[in-house]
This record gives sequence, C-alpha cells and structure tokens, in this order.
Amino acid sequence: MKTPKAKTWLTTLPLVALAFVVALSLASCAGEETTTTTAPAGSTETTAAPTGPVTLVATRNNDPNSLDPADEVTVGGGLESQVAFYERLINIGDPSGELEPGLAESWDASPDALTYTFKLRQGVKFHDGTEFNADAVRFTWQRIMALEGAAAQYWQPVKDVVVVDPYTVQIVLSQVSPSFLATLAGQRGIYMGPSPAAVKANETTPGDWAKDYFRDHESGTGPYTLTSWTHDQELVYEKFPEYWRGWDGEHVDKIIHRIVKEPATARLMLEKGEVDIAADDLPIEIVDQMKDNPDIVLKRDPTTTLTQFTFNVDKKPTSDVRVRKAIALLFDYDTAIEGSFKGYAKRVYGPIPSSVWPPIPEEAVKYNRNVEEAKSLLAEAGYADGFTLKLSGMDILNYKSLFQILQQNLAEANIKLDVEMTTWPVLFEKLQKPKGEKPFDMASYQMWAAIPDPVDILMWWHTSAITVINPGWGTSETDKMLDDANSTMDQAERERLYSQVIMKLNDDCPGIWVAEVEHVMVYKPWLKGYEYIPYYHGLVNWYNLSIEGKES
Amino acid sequence: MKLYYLIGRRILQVIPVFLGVTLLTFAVSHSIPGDPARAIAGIYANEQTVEAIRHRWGLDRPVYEQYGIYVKGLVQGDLGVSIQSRRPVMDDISDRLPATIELALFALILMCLIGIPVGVVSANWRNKLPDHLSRLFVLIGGAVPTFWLALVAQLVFFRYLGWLPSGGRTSDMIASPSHISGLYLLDSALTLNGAALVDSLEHILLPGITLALAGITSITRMTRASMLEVLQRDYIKAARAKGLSRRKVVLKHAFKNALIPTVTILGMMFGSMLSGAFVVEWIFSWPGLGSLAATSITNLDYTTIMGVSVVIAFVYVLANLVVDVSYMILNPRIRLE
Repeated sequence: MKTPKAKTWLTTLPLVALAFVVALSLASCAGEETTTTTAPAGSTETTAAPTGPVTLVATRNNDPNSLDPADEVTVGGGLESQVAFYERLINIGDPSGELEPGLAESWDASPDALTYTFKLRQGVKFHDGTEFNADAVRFTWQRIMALEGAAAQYWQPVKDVVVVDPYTVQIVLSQVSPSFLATLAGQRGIYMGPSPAAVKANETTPGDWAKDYFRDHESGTGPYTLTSWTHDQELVYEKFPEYWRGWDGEHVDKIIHRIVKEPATARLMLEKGEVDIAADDLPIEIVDQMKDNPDIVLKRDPTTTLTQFTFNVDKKPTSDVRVRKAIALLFDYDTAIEGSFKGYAKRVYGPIPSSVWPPIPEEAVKYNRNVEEAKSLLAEAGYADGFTLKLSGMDILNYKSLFQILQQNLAEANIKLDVEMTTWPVLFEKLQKPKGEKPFDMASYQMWAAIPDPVDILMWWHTSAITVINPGWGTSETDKMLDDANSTMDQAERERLYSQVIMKLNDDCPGIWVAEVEHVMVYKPWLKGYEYIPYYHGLVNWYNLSIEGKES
Repeated sequence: MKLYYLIGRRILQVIPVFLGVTLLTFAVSHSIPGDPARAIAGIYANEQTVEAIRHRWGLDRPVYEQYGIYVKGLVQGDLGVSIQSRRPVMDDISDRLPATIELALFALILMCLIGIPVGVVSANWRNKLPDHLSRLFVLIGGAVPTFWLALVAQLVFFRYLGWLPSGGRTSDMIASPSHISGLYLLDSALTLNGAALVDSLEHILLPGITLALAGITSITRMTRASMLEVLQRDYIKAARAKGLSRRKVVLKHAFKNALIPTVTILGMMFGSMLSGAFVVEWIFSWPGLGSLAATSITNLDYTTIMGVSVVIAFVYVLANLVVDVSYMILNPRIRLE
C-alpha cells in the first residue's frame, strides 16, 4: 500500500518532469535570445558584421587564495589576478630589468640612500572613484604592516612613509638597501591599494582594515575591475573606463580567467580555440606536444629560474667536498636538458642565471660530465665501493625523468639513489629543518630571481637563511661578503663581492646547478601584445593584450 | 520497529562516527610533514612573517588544543577557516557541494537506468547472447580507468566531434540559473530557464557518464546475481506454476526482492562518488568537493581537508539512512525485525 508521502512524490514527479520538458522546449528560443544580447546597442541590419565587446579567455590552474595584495603574494595564490586590479609605483619595463614609471612619474634617492622621493602621477583614480595620492601610498604601507600578512616582509627596511604634498611621497629606510627600488618594482608585496575610502567603508569592525572583504573584492587603480568570481570556475574582469592610461589602441574589454586544473584539458581547449591563452605554465611535456601545431604560438623566453640539486653538507658522505664534486662530475647535463626539459633549457655553470648580473666568473670552477675523474675523487675520499643517498625532490612532472637520469649516472660509480618526490609544502618542511637535522642527502627544486638583483637568489646562501633553502653551507666569511654586498650602493663593489661568493660556491660545490629553464607561453595566433618579463614570471600584462583577426 | 525510532537511532550513531572521523583525519593530516604557515606566507617569506602567521592561525598551539578548538567549533557548526582561501571552510564547501551532489545524482540515475535493466536482462537470459554481451560491457566498464576514459571522452566529444563542452558547469554566454537548490539542472527546470537547462545538461553529460560507467559494473553484477538467486526461489516457481507469464514473474515478483542488495550498493556508491569523484571533477573542471579536496591536500590545508571529511561522513551516514528506509519500503518485514 502506498503511503501518503509516496503519493505526494508520485504527484510531484510528473510536475517536475513537465517543467523539464517545457524548459527544454523553450531552449532553442532562449538560446537565440542569449546570443543576440552580445550585439551592440543601436546596430541595424545595414551595418557590417556586429562586433560585441572584445573578450579574452585565459586559463589558470587553480582558484586564487586571496585577491588582497597585502595578504597574498604568490603566483598561483592570486597575484596573477591582482595585477589586473592593482599597480606598482614603478615597473620593470623590459627583460633587461630597466625600471620605468608606474603610478610614480619620477623618483630620486637622497645622497645617503635612505630616503626615496616619488612624484606621483596626477589624475589616477581608484575603482571606487576616489583619487590616488600620497595619502593612499602611506595608507597602503600602514595597512600592510598592520595586517602582518605576507606582504609585510617586503616593507621591513621601511621606517616611515612621509606625505610631502598630495603628489609627493617619501619612503624612509632604516638601513641602506641597494635592492629597494628593484623590490618596489618587482612582483611581490608592493601594490598600491585598496583605496582608503573603500577600506573604511568595508570594515566589519573599525580598525580591521577590511581584510575579509578584500579577499574577494578589489579597489585598485589598475586597468580592469573584478566583475565576478565563481569559486573553482572562473573570474571575470571588465575594463575600468577611467583607467589613467586610457583605452586608445587595441585592448580587450573583458577577460574571463577560467580555472582549468588539468593541463591536458587546457591543451584541448586551446587547440579548439575555446581559450585564447593558457596563462599559467603548462608542463613542458604538454607544451612540447603542441610545437608542430600551426594554430598555436609557442613563445619561448629565457627566465631567471634555475633547476638545482643541493647537498646536505652536514651529513656524511655529502659533507665531503670530493663526494659533492664527484656527483657534479657524474651528472649528464646534456641528456637532462634534452630528456627532462625537451630542449627548453640551457646549461648554467653556477648559482646564478645568465640573465642576472654578475656573470659567472671565467676562472670559477665549472663542472662537466667526467666519469673517470669522478671515480678517482670518490676513491680518494674512500668511497670507491659506493654508498646510498636519499634525494627529496619536488613533485614536478619533468623532474621524475631528471631524477632517473641522475640515478643512472650515479649507478656508474656504485652510488644508489633513493628518490622521494613530494609536494612543495612537504619538501619545504624538510628543507627548513635546522642545520644538521635535514632529513635528506640531496634535495632538488627550482629557484628564481624575482627582481633584477642578485640578492634575490644569492641571499639563500647566507647562514641565516638556513631555515629556507640553504642546505647548511656558509661561513662567517661568506656571510660577510653577502652582507656587505647588500649594504652598499657601490655597484662595482657589489659585483666584486657577489662574484667572490659565486667563485666560493662553485669551488665548494654545495649544489649542482643543472639548467636555466625557458619559459614557454602557448596562445592562439590572434592574441597580440604578449610579452614575457622574467621578473614578472607567471604574471600577464592584461592591459597590453589584444585580439586581432579572430573569427567569431 | 517504528520508522522514526530507527531514524532516531541512526542519528545518534552519527555522533561517534563524526568524532572518529575528526580524530582520524586530524591525526593523519597533522602527522604529514609540512608547514601550513609557510604555505600561506610563500617561499620567500622570512621566519618573522611565518611566525606571525603561525600565531594568527593558532598553529603554534599544542595539537590537542587545536583539536579541542576544532571540535568545539564543529559543535557550533563552525568548520574553521581555510588556510588556503582564508574563508570559512563552511562557505567553501557550500559553494562546491551542490555541484558534486548534482554530478553524483546524475551519475547515480544513469547507473540505475542502465545498470539495473542490463542486470535483469542478463539474469533472465543467463548464458545466452544478451548475457554475454552485458557481461562484456560490464567487464570493459570495470577495467577501464576513469582518468583514461575521461580524457578519451573529452578528446572525442569535445576536441574532434565538438558535440559537448570540455568542462565546467555552464558556458560563458549563458547565465547560471537562479539559485534555488544549487543543482543547475533542477533550478533551470524549476525556473523554466530552457537555455540554462540545455547548457547545464550539455556540461554534465561527459563527467556524468564517465562517473557512471565505473559504477554501472557493480550495479549490473549485483542485480544479475541477486536476480539469479531470487529466480531460483520456490515462490517464483509457484508463481510460474499457477500460470503467470514469465515477464510478469520477473518484473513484479522477482525484481522487487532482487533490488535490496542493489539499493545497498547504490547508497554506498553515492557516498563514495562524493569523495571519489575528484579525478572526474579535476579533468572536467567541475567545481565540486572532490576538486576542492584534491587542492587542499596538495596545499596542506588541514581545516579544509577535515571539513570535507566531516561533510562526506555526514552524507555517507545520510545515504545509509536513506538505504535503510528504502529497505523498509521494498520489504516491510525488515521493519519488524
């Protein structure tokens, strides 16, 4: 016997089914309605082909963590979206690292290099319509420091931000920092905004700096505003009509930043023309599969990124410099570049990429594959019969083959390599263990310079940086060189000191510097204006992009 | 046994299940090496910044204290704040849960619509051509890995034929239907939004079919086995002996009784599809719980991992409750036991 509830269900089911059928039958009409909404207002039958707003579709592989530049400073975490909304005082204009005006028109430093004065651009508006001025710069600094978020670290040398007049602001440092301007133009932690008025208006409790609100809202001065964010699906940006650079020339009106986690899916979408650019780095294996496709542009550029192995210098047998050198001599660099990087990389002979000064000194020790020399070094160190090493490496697709190559190379000298691949946070936990407690013999990961200054990549070899990257290498002498290089404005002296550090590193061999990896961006031929600047790795200058000649 | 008594007993059973799930997940996620404060701060953050973040997130407190705080929040319906997105975990989950439920329900319906009839046909024509064909179909369905099937389906139906979209829940040109249940198919039908309905249907087809295919194997096998068993029973022979047609005996007398094991499997499958659909969700850019869980695991987002586990445990318990109630409808004797 049917229960009353069952009866209700039975009577409701046909209604739902009917609704489905009616809705389906309306589908075609509604579909037509939707497509016509893209036609411009006022267009008539006599006009040429209708042109709607120019929309760019880009993929990204994850949902941003936060859109607040005070809180999130990583590419992949939200920075690649933030740059559509927020801007810097000064920018890096080209791959050479040349600085150019941004929200500041000009700047100069005091003779003691402790005070930097910036003349701000007039007529710049935040997206809430309020004006960008010196007060906004001071407010940005105050907010970042008060929130103690990830951006605060980049403002630590700053003692004060002084408003001189509405369009002049001074940044006062507590100590000389030769890389300060480069940091200010770099990609992390230095974006102006959100607007003070918007912050005040959206505080939940007075003084909370609207930190919750700005995780998924924005109020910058940048070219695009955030229209919508559907988590794990897409973010939509639309152009800010009052943007200070103006909208003359070719630009896009709307950007759909679609989240596609699987690289193989992103590839299919790009090939099919459903997206215009795969705006985050696709694995090199996927990129390489598209190299012969005439409908895809592969733009290759040198980066400041190094792939490296580091040795635990506090643990036997890698505490012995002869063992480290032997391993550097056993490694087959050319096979690694061709096999693991599919040729999208080039050799590097020291701890700094060729795109960052100073160059590796001519007289520095360089390592090329030489099995016999390696074997004699191992014999000299008492390890002719070999040993076992544990390698902890980043779980990146092409690193697997890199580690296999190393395994094969080391086997030639009876060295057994146990490989453990982990995600970045897990590897990081291991790397940052105190000196002497690091649970590996070798580690492998990428390093890169995000500012055009060697401090960004060589500072990790300071002993005070052992919590992060440094595998325990360094002495008071090398620390002094690094400290001195980072506290003088004398460029020649800095080059000399950094060259000495590089020489010392190459000689002690605490790491194997494998290759400088190329950046390969893949996009459709109709996309114009894409330029890669290594210091803005992972970021796209959305304002410069345009779409020309795309068939609708 | 009264129905409401049974439901009440089940609800009481939820409490130890939840405590067990939270304790286990907490223990496992905290024993993995990794520093969430570092993950938030970024690779270049100095130790001072990392410490400030660790303190702000309560990660510097003893583990038992962190667990106590978590359970206290849970009782109040607070799943904590996501380390990764910095939003309440409850918000992150509620954003994704409807998408996963819709996909799982769609796949479940497909499984029933295909798996049960195939199982019945297979049992009815045992060791004949339809049985061989259905067993072959089941074998292939069960042997093909989901990720491979998903990629091939995408390649064929999106890349080459262009019939279906590559992923996502809706197209850019079509606005999502008004939010009623969060299930796009249902919401667009209820609001008579034809364009959204067709669009949602197009988007759910590939992930739905891919997800369903793996499960159809178990449904067909189970239906076939239990149908064969029931068809051997005396009352079936009696029904045939009194002159009822084979068709009537199979569909009316045998089928209903043979469904009980299948319903059990369906309940468990629904639960596992919520947590296990991450491969399908990942490949088809389906913004669901599985996709969220996979990202959280990679980023050591403890609070989200735990939140997702608790929610899945809850749905599992709920699905089992539905299964128990279905038993009673299918076989009233169970209510008396």
